[in-house]
Amino acid sequence: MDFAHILEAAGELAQPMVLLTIFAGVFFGIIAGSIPGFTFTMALVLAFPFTFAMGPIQGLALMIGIYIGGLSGGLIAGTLLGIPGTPSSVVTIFDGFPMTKNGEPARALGIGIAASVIGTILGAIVLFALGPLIGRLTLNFGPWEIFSLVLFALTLVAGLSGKHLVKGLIAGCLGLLVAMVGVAPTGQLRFNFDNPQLSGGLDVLPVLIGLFAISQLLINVEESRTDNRQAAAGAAKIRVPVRRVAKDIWQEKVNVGRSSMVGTFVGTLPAAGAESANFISYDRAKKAEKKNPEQYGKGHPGGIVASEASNSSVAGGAFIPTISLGIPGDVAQAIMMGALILHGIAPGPGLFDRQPVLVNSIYLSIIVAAIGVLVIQTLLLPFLARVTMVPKAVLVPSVLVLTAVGSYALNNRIFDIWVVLIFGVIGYILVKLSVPLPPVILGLILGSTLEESMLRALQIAEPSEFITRPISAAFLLLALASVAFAVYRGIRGRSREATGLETQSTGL
Amino acid sequence: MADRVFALVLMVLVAAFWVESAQLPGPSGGAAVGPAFLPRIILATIFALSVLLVVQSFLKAEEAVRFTGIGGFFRLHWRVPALLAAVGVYIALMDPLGFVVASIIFLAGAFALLIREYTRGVVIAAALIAVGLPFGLNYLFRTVLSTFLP
Repeated sequence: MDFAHILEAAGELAQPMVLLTIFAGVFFGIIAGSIPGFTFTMALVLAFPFTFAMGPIQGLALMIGIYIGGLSGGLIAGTLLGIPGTPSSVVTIFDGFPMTKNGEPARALGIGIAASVIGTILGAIVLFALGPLIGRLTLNFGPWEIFSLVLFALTLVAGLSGKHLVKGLIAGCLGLLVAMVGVAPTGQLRFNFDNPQLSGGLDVLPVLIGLFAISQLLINVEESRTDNRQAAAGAAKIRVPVRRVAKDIWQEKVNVGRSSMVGTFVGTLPAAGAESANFISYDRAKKAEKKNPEQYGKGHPGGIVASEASNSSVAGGAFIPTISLGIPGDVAQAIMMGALILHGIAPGPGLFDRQPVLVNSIYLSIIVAAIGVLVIQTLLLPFLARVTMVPKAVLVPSVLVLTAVGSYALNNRIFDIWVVLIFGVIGYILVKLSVPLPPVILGLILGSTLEESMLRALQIAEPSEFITRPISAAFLLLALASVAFAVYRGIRGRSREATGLETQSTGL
Repeated sequence: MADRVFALVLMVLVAAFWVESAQLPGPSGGAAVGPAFLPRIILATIFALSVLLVVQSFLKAEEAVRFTGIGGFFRLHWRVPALLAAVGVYIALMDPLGFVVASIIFLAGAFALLIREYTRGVVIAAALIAVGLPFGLNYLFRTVLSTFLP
């Protein structure tokens, strides 16, 4: 650990413009997380073009602010309206909304904010401790290890991100196929179908905006038929009862620590994400509760703590594979990775040596963003409570214009907006078919790395090196194991369902 | 049914890319494999998975995605294709009319399409956004990002 680099990173972040950028990011992230149907992933893709005008540290700081703010912001709509602001705050509703109905919305929000901030900071500490260790291990990775690692990440994501393994694998392959369009690493042009616009390949950003933002907006249009959000009574006068919340958090201190560690660990698994983390943490917290386990689901502070500490701590964990291995931990990480690549910085093995100040600025940005979450959410709660009621009919067209302008700004060409529209339709259809989208993005981002490492490996040695080199062989075995585990999970799930049905039909 | 249609579409996609890959040259410049090598592995994998998806749709019919028909979808969610069409027109108009004018027209049309209850607040907000957002974005991109929108 080099304190000179930490100090240098702190100096960069202490610049007023950078601090302001993080706080602005946190503010927009919280707003994006607060509005049901408008996810922070969407806010990240919209913010992407604004990073063009910034240096890498400031650009990344903006995105980290949005990410941390967004992970926490979902609790507001979940607690006040009973509708999750983001998918990762679904579990917050279990106890947050009942507490609101019991007349304590401010206490519920206060517990959520505090747990979220502590979870974020604990996740950052784990990242600070483990990131460099893993980074050092990857320094000796050759093309064989990188190829096998990418393959493992793809199978892991395909297996974890949906109920159907086959569809997950198809999604990953589709992402890889899109990555093959354009100039091959060997220099030949391929799959441009005589369209000169495709000669340079498809940029990740328009594809990402289409798949994630447009498809989600179209689903919002569908859901606007049944949009019956009701403002929580007294939401405009919410003030957090600080002492009461501090007491609640102190009583749940073990829960905070455990849930944060669960979140950080889950965050390290590509695509497992905050959605899985808060379900696991909630389950653990409920099982560990000795005094009032029956109060879980009826407004227990421990339920809110478990959900919010875990979903926020995911950030620290998700950065570990991104910066040390070049494998994005979730879609938000994939977008941030895209921003870094745009600035000529390739995340992955060697980043700790090449960009020590940037890496340290990531840890510090997360902590500054956590402080921003605490300040902004506590002070602006009445305003944020009103933001949750923004009508989707106004939101959707506005975001569509922002996506159009954001994708245009990438290359100054209208063709990229068409790409957004086409991939938006594809994303929407894939969602309708229960095909998970994260593997598509991972395949798209890692496709070129996979091919380049494969070509280099085959050029300098026999193909058998992939299985004779121990680390490469271990990753290939893990890839096989992740597919086998997904198959096993599917079979076990079906047999459980069958047993359940049998029990129901026999009336037992 | 929907899974089978999806598998069929994937097979057509695989065929199109396979035909295109046949035109690619072989290995050159000391490379062990040519530019079609990895794409063909991916295409073969997609094809095999598509076949598996079709088989699964018969064996585990209860898990397959149900297909309720295009007619039913359009009746229930006609706003989705209408909005997509509006976005298509918006992109097509962007070059001849410019970003600001095309965006104002698109936003006004999209608000009219999606707003279901016209309260005073919603109408004022929609009008302000329809005019303010395009001008604001145009100014922001020109001055901050030095990007000139069409």
